[in-house]
Amino acid sequence: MPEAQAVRDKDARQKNALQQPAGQPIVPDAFEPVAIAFVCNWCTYTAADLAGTSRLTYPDNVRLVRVMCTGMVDTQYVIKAFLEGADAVLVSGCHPGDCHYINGNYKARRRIKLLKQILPRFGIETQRLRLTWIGASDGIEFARTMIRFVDEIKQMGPCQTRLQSVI
Amino acid sequence: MMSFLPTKDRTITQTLQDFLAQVLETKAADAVLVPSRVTGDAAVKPCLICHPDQLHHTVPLGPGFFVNAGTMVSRLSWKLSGKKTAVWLRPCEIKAFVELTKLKQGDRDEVIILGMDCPMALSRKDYDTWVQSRSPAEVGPGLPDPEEWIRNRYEHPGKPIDGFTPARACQVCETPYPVNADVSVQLFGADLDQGIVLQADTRKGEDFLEGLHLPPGKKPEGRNTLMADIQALHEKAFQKMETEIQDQTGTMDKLNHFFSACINCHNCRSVCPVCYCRECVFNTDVFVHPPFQYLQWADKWGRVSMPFDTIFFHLTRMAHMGLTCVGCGQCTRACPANIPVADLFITVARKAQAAFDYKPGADDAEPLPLSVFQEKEFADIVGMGGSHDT
Ligand code: SF4
Ligand code: SF4
Ligand code: FES
Repeated sequence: MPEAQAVRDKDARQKNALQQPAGQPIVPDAFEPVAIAFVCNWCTYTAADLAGTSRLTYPDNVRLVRVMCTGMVDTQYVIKAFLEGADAVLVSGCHPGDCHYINGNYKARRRIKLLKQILPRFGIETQRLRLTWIGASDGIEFARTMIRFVDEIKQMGPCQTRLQSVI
Repeated sequence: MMSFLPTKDRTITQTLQDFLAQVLETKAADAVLVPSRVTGDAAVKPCLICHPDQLHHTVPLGPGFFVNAGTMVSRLSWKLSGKKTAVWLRPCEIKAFVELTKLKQGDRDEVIILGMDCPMALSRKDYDTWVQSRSPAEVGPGLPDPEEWIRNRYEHPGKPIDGFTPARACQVCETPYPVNADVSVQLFGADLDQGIVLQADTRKGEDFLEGLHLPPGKKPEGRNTLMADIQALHEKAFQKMETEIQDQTGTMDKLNHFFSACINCHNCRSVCPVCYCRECVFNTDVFVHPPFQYLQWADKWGRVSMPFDTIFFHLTRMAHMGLTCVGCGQCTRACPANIPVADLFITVARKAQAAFDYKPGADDAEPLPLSVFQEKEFADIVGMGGSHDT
């Protein structure tokens, strides 16, 4: 099971990265962040699919969660992702005006706005939570965004919730 | 329109009891909802009263605040009863009720909101001490006469009352005077030996006062200055609280400490007047985790404390109702673990509300922030933070 082995190796690498003595800078290369991306079925997921069929690569640190619309991403999903140790969360859907449920993405924008008032108060930096619009035909944009997103998180280092369990 | 309620050698409590009796006798309302001693002891809860002979149990103004009556008004108005009810509310109770009407869990049509300049309230523990420290005098056994409390509160606002400091939530309250009532009961700045001023704030309030044929009143002198002073004081207290909360909860580790004694009883949610869901997601099977899940968590971090999902619960509650938090402080009062839940919720909520330019309960026509949207707004939070963003 080479795939399982690869996952285990990666986990071991992550553990190593996390076990660096406190106070020392995290070596960005050694740290493999986990980013959860809630992507809407009609736009960003399709874009991810397109990126795949176009053989574009993007970091496997991003774990996609397909949802029907960003309008269904309740704040609790984002909170849970962080509390489970995600280093970053992305919500991505259709451009304004393109939502297949008319206005789900506008609602998502308000929820993310709200979460950005709450989570940074407890030390989850605002850059760890992103909202983007990536249309169905934007395969390239999708891959580019993911690369940039992961890059940024690597620079930031692990989220506190990864290093420490939350009660 | 303004009316005057002369005290005529009565205590404030008696004056208000007689006023409420008049409301019932003149049929200005079919019933009144007003804080009352439930069984004659010191526990004070909103009681719905139809018969004037029951009013001697009532405590319209006092430091006991066991229940946010906003929820109770919603229970009395979620559908039509064909009766008119006058509800005697603290400012944060009005706000809570108004928020619930926006969720169609109540309706203003059949209620007349009598909003009071707030007498402030004590924490549960301080309330018990206050009760024990006073002799059960005129008001009856089990409850001390709140007259001294009332006098101190309205005549020297900002000072400890009867040697007690009101609950934190009250100390930081932005509007300790009624906003969005039908009739506001004005005590700040009033000469309480003379009487109390009632002001109609709506058409309904005007009709109500007219029917009572009270002498005309005029705005208590110095009320506005006094209000401004109180607000400044409360703003300062809020800033102090915010700094403290930031110190106590600024990281996840600190947040763990803050809630370490939490036993997941969810009392804070049950008493919250604006935790409006019929069934909370935290009561559903979603949170009946399979045993292996716990073991997986324990393996991931080395251990997992049980019951789990404590912070998850609090952060989710904050995200779900924070924009409508009315700052009543009931969550702290209900907490068996003595966690100052309201200090945290009020701090976070006030800042979040400001980001949406929203004041819960202030305006019936202002929709809940998460129930609406604008096509163009909050562009700054979209994208990766670079120039190519859309
Ligand atoms: S969160 Fe606490 S302070 Fe805010 S409305 Fe609910 S019970 Fe009152
Ligand atoms: S009332 Fe206190 S102990 Fe109960 S869930 Fe709320 S914070 Fe925890
Ligand atoms: S369907 Fe894509 S955001 Fe609503």
